Amino acid sequence: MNEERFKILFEYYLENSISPQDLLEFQKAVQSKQYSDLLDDLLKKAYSEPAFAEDNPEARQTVLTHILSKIHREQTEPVLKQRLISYKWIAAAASVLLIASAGGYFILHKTPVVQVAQNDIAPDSTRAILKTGHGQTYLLAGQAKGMLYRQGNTAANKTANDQLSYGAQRELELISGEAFFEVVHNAHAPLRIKTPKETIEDIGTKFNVNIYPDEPDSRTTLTEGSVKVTLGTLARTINPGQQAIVEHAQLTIADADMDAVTAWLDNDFVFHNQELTTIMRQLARWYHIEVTYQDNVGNLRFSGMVSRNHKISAVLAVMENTGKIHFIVSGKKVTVLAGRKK
Amino acid sequence: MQVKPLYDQRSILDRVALGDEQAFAIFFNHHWPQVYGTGLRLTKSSEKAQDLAQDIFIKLWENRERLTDVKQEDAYVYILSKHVILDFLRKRVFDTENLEILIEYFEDNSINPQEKLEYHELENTLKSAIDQLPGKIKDVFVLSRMEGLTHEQIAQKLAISETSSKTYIVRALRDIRKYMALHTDNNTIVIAAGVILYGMQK
Repeated sequence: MNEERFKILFEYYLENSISPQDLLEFQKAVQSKQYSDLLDDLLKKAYSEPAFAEDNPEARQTVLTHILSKIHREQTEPVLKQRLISYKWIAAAASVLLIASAGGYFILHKTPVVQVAQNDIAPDSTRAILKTGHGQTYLLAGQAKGMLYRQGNTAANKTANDQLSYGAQRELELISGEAFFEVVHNAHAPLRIKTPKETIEDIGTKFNVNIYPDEPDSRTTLTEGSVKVTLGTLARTINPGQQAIVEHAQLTIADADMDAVTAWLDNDFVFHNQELTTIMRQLARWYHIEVTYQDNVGNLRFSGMVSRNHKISAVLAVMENTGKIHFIVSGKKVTVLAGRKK
Repeated sequence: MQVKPLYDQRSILDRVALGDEQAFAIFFNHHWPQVYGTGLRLTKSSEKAQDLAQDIFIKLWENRERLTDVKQEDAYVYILSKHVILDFLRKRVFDTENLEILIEYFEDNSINPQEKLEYHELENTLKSAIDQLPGKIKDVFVLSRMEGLTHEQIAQKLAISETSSKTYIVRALRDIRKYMALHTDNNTIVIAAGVILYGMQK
């Protein structure tokens, strides 16, 4: 190998006329750092060769948005309280953003170029169960504005904006799930929602209730009007933008991360600096998957926003692009592993 | 042919130096084709070229204050990125893991020596063809195909009418075709020349 040979191999490499042996030889030479100065020279010329210039508008947009969000992320100081109050999102045009707080990030467009895997799982709504004061059971698919419900064993899907009448006492029992309520307030018979932990009474109009057995707490978030939450003899009224959280028989009021809470109304998942385990639990509910962890990555934190309308492969691909984790999907089972996909 | 928007170098560099993100976006879009395109040639992978471009532009942003002193913008972009590029090449392009991928790439994308020769010959013939064009016709052709000016711009620059500019192009193409037919062996090569001519429009 001499300088001339190095130059020639570089040229062959650039114009795709290099043989496998020559490639190996060239690779060794590059790694040996023996021709660093020459390589520097050659690269300099390459980066000023107009014939090499090439645009890829989609990639250009992706990378730019990515860089801008990194710039913003460094400028914002995320408040690492239990509930984040406000977190400015960059309104990237037609894109979806996922950042690993530990570093590493990528952006995927809303129409992902990911190949849909054979065993891909389509989104499905989770079911919340509602029991009225009269003992009737309703199955709610809460993932829409308003409610879908089913009475007993007969499936009768009524879509959003349907009015549910709950009987004279206007009392509902929400056993598990998530529902967004838009209630016409009746001062004489306010709607009362009973969950396994507390009772919610509407004073106003719009609120969101979230309880799942595998989440440690239940949350009621108010978007409009006001709502009173009772736990035993303790009652608290919450105002719009606030959340009432019941955990370990304690009731606390906190500011709600409104974007995250109501994102599902807009058909999005939003997570702000959330642990992977929490995120995967949400995905498990939506896609009805079983999640297992092969590596100890549950504590990694992610922030992101993904439309719920994608098949799971797209959502997982976005997370994989951070380079911190990857997934193996087999039927309804998803295994989480550390690092990049090999 | 796209007309490149006006790039006010001094203004953009100074604004980026002050942290103006909009200016940075303009700066980014201006340099992207060269940075990405060359990266593509080096990495043989769009994904890797994007990663490399990202690393480069982030470094440019992190050192944005230096832009106020920069005069040779294109040279500076490379000089600042030098180590990023070398590092990337050594770690992600010419590392042992990627070697197999490269070999696979070349199996699908190689140009064999015969093809290369033919292509170079074609290019040379074409260059001669353009050289042979008479005065104004050659000027118009070069301005149009090499520098991407519109007929309106050419007309202004050469003090001729737009119609003349268009007519000259028609003649230029005709003359080039004639020359190529005379100086090359078969018809497929002439068609390929048409492709090169089109490529020149970019």
